[in-house]
Amino acid sequence: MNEPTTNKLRRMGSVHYLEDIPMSVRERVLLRSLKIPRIETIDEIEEVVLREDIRGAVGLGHELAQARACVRWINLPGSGAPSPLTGMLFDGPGVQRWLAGCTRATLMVVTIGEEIDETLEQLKTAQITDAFYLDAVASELVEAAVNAVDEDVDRAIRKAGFEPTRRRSPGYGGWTVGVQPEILRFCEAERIGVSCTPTYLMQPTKTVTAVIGWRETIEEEDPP
Amino acid sequence: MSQSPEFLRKVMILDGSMGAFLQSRGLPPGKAPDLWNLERPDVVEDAHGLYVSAGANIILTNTFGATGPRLETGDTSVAVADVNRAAVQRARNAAATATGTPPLVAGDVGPLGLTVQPSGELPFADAVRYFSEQIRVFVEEGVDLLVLETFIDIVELRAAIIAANDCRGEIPLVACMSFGVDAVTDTGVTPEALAVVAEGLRVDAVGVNCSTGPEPMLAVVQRLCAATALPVAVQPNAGLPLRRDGELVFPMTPEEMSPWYERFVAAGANLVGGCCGTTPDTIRLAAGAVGGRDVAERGAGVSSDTVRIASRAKVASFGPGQPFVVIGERINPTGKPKFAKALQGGSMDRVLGAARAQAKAGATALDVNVGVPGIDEPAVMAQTVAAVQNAVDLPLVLDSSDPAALESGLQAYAGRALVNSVSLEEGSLEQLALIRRYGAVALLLPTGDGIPEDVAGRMENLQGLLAQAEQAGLPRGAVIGDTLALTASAMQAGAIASLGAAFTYRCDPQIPSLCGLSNISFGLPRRKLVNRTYLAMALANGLDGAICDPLDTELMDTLAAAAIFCGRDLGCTGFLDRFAGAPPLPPTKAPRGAPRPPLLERLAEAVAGGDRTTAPKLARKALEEGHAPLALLLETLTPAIRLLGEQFARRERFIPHLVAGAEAMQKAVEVLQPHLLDEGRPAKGTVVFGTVDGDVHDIGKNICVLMLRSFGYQVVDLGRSVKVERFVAAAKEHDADLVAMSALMTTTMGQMRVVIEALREAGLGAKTMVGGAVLTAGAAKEIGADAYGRDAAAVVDVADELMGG
Repeated sequence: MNEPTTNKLRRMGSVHYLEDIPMSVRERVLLRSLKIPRIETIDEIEEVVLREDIRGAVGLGHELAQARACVRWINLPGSGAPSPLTGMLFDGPGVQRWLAGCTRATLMVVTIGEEIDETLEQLKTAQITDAFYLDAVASELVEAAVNAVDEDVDRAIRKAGFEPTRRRSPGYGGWTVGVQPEILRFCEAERIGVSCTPTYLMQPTKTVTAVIGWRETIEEEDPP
Repeated sequence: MSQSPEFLRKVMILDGSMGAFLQSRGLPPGKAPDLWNLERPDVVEDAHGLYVSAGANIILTNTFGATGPRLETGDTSVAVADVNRAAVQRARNAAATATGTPPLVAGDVGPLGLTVQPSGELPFADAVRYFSEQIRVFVEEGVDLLVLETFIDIVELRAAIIAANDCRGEIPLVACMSFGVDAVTDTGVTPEALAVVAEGLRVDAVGVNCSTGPEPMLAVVQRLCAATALPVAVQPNAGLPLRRDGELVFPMTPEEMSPWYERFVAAGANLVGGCCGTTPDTIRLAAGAVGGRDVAERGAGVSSDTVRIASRAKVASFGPGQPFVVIGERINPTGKPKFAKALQGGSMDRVLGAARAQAKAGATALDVNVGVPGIDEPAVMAQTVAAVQNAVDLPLVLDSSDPAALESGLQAYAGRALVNSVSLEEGSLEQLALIRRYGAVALLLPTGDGIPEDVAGRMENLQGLLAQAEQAGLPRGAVIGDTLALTASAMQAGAIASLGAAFTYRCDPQIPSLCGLSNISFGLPRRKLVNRTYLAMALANGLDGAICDPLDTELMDTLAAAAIFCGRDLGCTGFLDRFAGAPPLPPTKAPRGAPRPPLLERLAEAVAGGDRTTAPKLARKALEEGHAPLALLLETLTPAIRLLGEQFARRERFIPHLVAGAEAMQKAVEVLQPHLLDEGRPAKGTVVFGTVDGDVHDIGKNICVLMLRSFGYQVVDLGRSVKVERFVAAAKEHDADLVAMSALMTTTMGQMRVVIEALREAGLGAKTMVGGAVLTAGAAKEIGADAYGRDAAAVVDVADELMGG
């Protein structure tokens, strides 16, 4: 399990910033994303070259990745409390269903930084295999970073007396990726170097945005 | 072990449980029983007296928890020395009541109740200090022997033994651990590992106590007796405790326990007693059954000319007839900048990768070298040892010239390590003393003022080192000689002499030998061939182990075969284990044409194996040797990649293999390319490929391009975020047979339909193929594409189908 990162929170306005988020590669997940079936660990790969290359990509990924996140909680429209939302952010039946019963939500932007992208850019023409491995490792690392942030956020929500919903990201379950700019703006994501293109591609590419709803369970306290 | 010959010749009876007796006499729950040595001396003496009357030859002081940390947690200000001194007096007084020969008094030492580093927080040196505080009192009070019992962590046991060794002089020392029903301790220590560690630390007897009750302990006793010539002690519980009416009870009666003592003694044990739940009656029956009996004959045991090292779980033996010891060399930052950088940054990723890979490849032990300039080597050595021993269960070889790093590694190590190495230079005596203190084995490197080229020079230095080892108190069972495998290209005579050295070491001074293999082939081509040839010859000369690369499968294969002829693999079981049931080697020859020379085979292997470094080198070499570039492409590279494709289809290889193989092929083709232009190169068709407008992800596209090129297509790569007009213009310009598009996002996927419609409007006959993370076969059909390329492996088949191939 990842170590809690809450103690690394730096408060900045109403947005929380996290740095040095712990990440570790789940080898089984990485192998499956590389379409290698059956085995559980990199060491089980029989071919020396392949094994060492993937092992090297894991090492390089750890070297290059620098996980940062920004997290912000907001009152949801209709909760009775003042909300900065226009109502567009959580449009769509799928989103409404996930957030049913929630009065607040936490938005997050998690990235492992631009160094991975720069290296992938260098590798992808002359060393495409290494790029292929590193790309998969980087995807797994950003997932690990998001999971670590998720754990912190869940803990904070529970501490405030609410039940966290599952994490959801734009592009899934009918939630349009068109909300990416709004999420980035709410979370002031430019402070961790994250932006998106007009077609909503995240820059750096290994970046994840997500929302977790606060479902009321017991008497409400001040949010953390 | 002891000055008393009876320890060796006769079965001795130890006493039984103390705590339960004291509780029956009013010791409150939670109170440290040790405190009653001062507060209720009469009750403690009564308990001892009952065991003396029952026939115990050895009684243990009431001091199992009388160490600093345990007494402190008992909320008392009583001094450790006072409790232990009083305890010895209680036992002495009781012993004096014996009607016959008075029993011996043993100072009893239990675990501290704290976990020692690296598993816990307590520094090793502090653990030694705590034990020392107790044991020094026993020594001052003149106990007859010391018994360490109920340990489960070998690191803590080592701390206790070292504390005892520091002050015990000739007082015999017995070291017991508690094993579970599976015959390992809760921290994973096996009886064999305990035996090896205890021998290394000059313990006089080993044993098992507490634990599970007698039945499962018999197997532990048998294994201990097989693993060591030391006397073996056993003190069982009266069965596994049960909860009855809210209280813990031990279910076995003295009568039920009694037959087990017969079995323990028949198995070779000669110190028998009881632990939790046993009573004076248990001991009386045991004494009646086996007390004073001659010790049973044991099997041949371990040969005296064998030197052993151990992890907490496994033993590696150097000596005649033992399996050859392969010490993995890959945990070493020398010449590996990334490895060094990782160590400097505190990352264990590469270390653990190397450890696991070598273990899986069949290494018997692992060399650990963390020598990076500017690093805090003692701290990193301890961290590395801790990490590696948690990741793999192989014995470790600590490789450092820094005494502080060695000491910190030896403290962290849960076993008996080999120290690499000690040579005749200033400080060697201190280094040997350190090795003795921690019960390790020394690898003696016979270099002195210079590097001796001949065997005589090596022997002269080795004798000097052996004299120093003797001076430091290190016995022959704790040294191994390095044969000094010198570089053949620079010092050929020295390299040849190292073969003779192995034979000479075995004859006189009769010590095992090993070598660092990689040196031998420096500066020569085909280094792996040189290495494995040398190693086979060295085995024939009696070499017992080597520090080498277990990931070199041909080397490991050679070792397995050579072991058959050197008496190291009786019945060929090791060889059969390695090869029985192994699939036949995959065909490496192209399916057509005459048999190819080795160079081309290697080129094909490099492509099939995804070796992107070797493939272009071999292609260049093949050109230099006069091979026709087109023939190389058609008869070597293409069959190799096809073979890989066939293996992929049979699910013997997967996408990463294909990608790496395709890149290896591409790099070889790049070498051939300038020459191929002259000869002309047939193509299966022309593909225009790009990532659609707005999408900048192109790694997947690049892989598909690579695959198509490797399988014979001419590909015009338009790059990423390609506008519709460029697709159309390129298809027209190159008379494309196929236009392929990639998109990662739903937002950019719509561009594919635009391109497909634009191609149709332009009247072009090119087929279309789409792919990417968000695409599905259904989506591809819906936007009007001719085909869906599911992944990099599928694009070639899809293209072939569309081309009618």
